[in-house]
Amino acid sequence: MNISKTMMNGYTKIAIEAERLDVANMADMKTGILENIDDSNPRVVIDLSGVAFLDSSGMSVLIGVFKHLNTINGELKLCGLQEQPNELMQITQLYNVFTVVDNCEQAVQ
Amino acid sequence: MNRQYSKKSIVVQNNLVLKSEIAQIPIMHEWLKRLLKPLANEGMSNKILLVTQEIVTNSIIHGNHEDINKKVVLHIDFTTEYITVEIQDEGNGIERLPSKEESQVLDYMAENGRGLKLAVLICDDIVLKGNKITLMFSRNTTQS
Repeated sequence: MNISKTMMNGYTKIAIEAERLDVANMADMKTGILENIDDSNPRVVIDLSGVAFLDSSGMSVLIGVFKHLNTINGELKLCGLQEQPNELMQITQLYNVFTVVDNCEQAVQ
Repeated sequence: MNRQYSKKSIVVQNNLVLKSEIAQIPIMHEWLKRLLKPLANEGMSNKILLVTQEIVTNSIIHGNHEDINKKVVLHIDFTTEYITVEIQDEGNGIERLPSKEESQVLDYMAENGRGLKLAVLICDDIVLKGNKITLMFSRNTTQS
């Protein structure tokens, strides 16, 4: 599992490299993502192009990050969703909650 | 692996016994993924992997309370019509499954509680008997 951070156009882009974001790594993932968020610059893009599988626990990590950013008037976008995470987003209707962009370069515009 | 041949279908059965700890989930995932690879396309495999993982997680956490001395047993059947996943823990069982209608009302901001509803939404059929749940995936409707 690897989490990397870059700054692009005023956004903090956090890229997750892990075959799965699920119950087995959710605690480390949540800690790792939140550690990379600067609360004074809370516009965040999470790049999920490196994640092939997401379960409801992985979803709860993203919801937790979303809720944190909400409390500090921040913004969260998700990008690069592969097929299975994309399907899960549709089934759980979380497309109504998250801003999801296919292209991660467009997400930081 | 046991093979049974019938007049109408070829049946492949597989069993896995897990200790009740979350660290077993990746082991279960890889085992099931390998098993499914020659028998289902990626879309169907993803559905089966997701639902099985959700139910096994529930069994470990809620059924067996993460007691490593308690087991979760998986039994997989493949026929020409269905892929069936049976999951049994040592807990007291669930009283009932949510209905399809209840499952469609997902509290999407809740950070927990989606696993069983996802199973109801995705599976073609589910049978609950106390602490044993059987997930059924039709190979005809899910384009295996």
